[in-house]
Amino acid sequence: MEFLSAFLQHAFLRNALAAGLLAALGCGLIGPFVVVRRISSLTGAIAHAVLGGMGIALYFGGPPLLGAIVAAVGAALLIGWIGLVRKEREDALIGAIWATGMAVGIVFIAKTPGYDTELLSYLFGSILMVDSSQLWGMVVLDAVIAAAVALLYRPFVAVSFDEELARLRGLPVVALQLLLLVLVSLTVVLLIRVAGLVLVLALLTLPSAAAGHWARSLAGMMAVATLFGSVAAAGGLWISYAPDLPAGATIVLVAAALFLASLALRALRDRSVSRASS
Amino acid sequence: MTGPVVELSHVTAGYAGLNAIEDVSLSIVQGDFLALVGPNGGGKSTLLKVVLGLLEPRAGTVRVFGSSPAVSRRRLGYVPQAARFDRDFPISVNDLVAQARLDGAHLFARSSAADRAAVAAALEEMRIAHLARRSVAGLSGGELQRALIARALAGEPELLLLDEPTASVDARMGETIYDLLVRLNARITLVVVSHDIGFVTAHAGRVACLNRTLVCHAPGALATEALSHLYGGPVRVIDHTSGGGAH
Repeated sequence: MEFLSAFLQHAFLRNALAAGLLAALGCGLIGPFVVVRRISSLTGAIAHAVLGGMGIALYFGGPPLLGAIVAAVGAALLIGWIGLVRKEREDALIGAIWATGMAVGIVFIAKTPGYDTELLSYLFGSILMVDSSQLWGMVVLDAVIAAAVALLYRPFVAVSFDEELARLRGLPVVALQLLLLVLVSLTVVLLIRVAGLVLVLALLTLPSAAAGHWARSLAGMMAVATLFGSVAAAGGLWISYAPDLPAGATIVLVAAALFLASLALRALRDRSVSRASS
Repeated sequence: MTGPVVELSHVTAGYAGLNAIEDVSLSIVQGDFLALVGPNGGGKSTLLKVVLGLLEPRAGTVRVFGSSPAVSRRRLGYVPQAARFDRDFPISVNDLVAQARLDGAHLFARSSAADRAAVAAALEEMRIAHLARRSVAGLSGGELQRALIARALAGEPELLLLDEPTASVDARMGETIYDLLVRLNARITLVVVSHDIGFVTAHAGRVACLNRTLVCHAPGALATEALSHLYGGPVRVIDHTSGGGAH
C-alpha cells in the first residue's frame, strides 16, 4: 500500500516502472537468442566494453549514451568478425574485451572531474534516476529491436537453428548473424540504466531461460520472457521500495527467484509426465 | 534435362591441413539412387558438402545441374545428420519443415499459401502430419529423422542428399525410411551417405565406396565383394529386408 501511494505521488517511481517494463521488452525479444545460441559470455563482454565507451564519452564531454552504443556495437562486430568471418576461436577475444573495456572505462572516469559517483550507477544501475528523455531513448531502442525481430524473425530462427540450411536457401548468413549481435549490443545499452552492466547478463538470460522451460517456439519464448521480465521489474521495484534496497539488484534477485521456481515446476511436471507414461 | 545432375572431376577437399577427399571423380545422372559408403572419416560428409557448395574444393571442378553449386543449390535438398541438432531448441515440427521455404532473395517475405501447401505435402509424404504442432524436443529419433527429410522435401528438390539417415533410428524405422526413399526416387535423384552397408546395398541402385579416394564404384548387387576390399577384410552384410530381424 505504501508503495502504491508513493507510486501515485512520485514521478520518479513511475519513470522507474516504465524503464523496467521497457527493459523487459528488449530482454524478452533478444534474451531468447542469447539463451538458445549460448552466447552469454559474449554478451557479458559487450556489457563491460560499454563502460569503456561511456568513460571515453564522459572524459571528452560527449553524451555517454552515444559512447555506450559505439562501444557495444563495435565489440559485437569485432567478436562476430573473428568468430564468423575468420572462423577463429573467439573466447580469448571475449575475455580480452571484457577486461579491457572495463579498465578503459575506470581509467577515463577516474580522470573525469566530478564523475566518480557515476561509476557505481553504471556498474549497478540507477533505475530510480531515469528521466523522461532517457525513457524516450529506451522507447527508440525498443522500437528498433522490435522492428528488426518482427521483420527478420524466420531468418533469425533459421540461422540460429541450422546455419548450413540457411546458407543453402541463399540467406545472407554472416550479415544476419552480425545483425543479431548488434541487436544484442543495443539491448545491453537499453539495460544499463536499469540494472547496470554487471547485472545486465542476468536480465538477458534469467527470464528467457525460465521461458525456455515452457515455450515451444522462439516467439512463444519471447512472449513468456517479456512477461517474466515485467514481473521481475515491477516486483523488484515494489520489494526494494520500503526497505530501501538497491532496485537493480532486487530486480535481478526477483528474476533469479522466478527462474528457480520455473525450474522446480518444470522438474515436477517432467516427473509426473514420466510417471504417467511408464 | 540432359547431362549429369552432378559431375565431380578430380576433386580434392578438406578442412584445416587435411584432405578428407582426394582426386574424386564421380558423376550422378537423373534418377540415380547412389549410396556413398565407407569408413568413418572416409570423406563421405565432406563430399556431400562439396556438392552442396558448403565447402569449396581445393582442386578439381564441381558442376551441379550444369552450373556451380551456388547457382543450383535451391534445386538441392539436404538432410543433415539428426544428431547434430540441439534438441532443446524451441521449434515445432511445422516451423522446422517450413525453414526449407526460406529464400534469400525474399528475406522479409511472409509464408505464402504455396509455402504452406508444400510444407503440408512434405509432412504428409513422410507420414508425420500428426506431429506438425509438436515440439522438436519431444520427438523420437525416427520422428526427427523423418521431419528433417520432410524439411528437405518442402523445398521441392530435384536432387536429395542425405547424411546418415538411419544412424539414430532402430532397424525397423531404418527400413521404413528406406522404403520412403525408394518411393521418392521415382521423381527425385538420391544420394545417401551411410555406413550401414546392409541397408544401402539392398536399396540403392549404385554404390560408391569412399575412403579418401573413390575406392570402388559398382551397381548395388556387386557391391558386397567390393566392400570387403574397402574395409580390408570379409564383410558380412546383414540383410535387413527379410522380416523384422533382430532389434
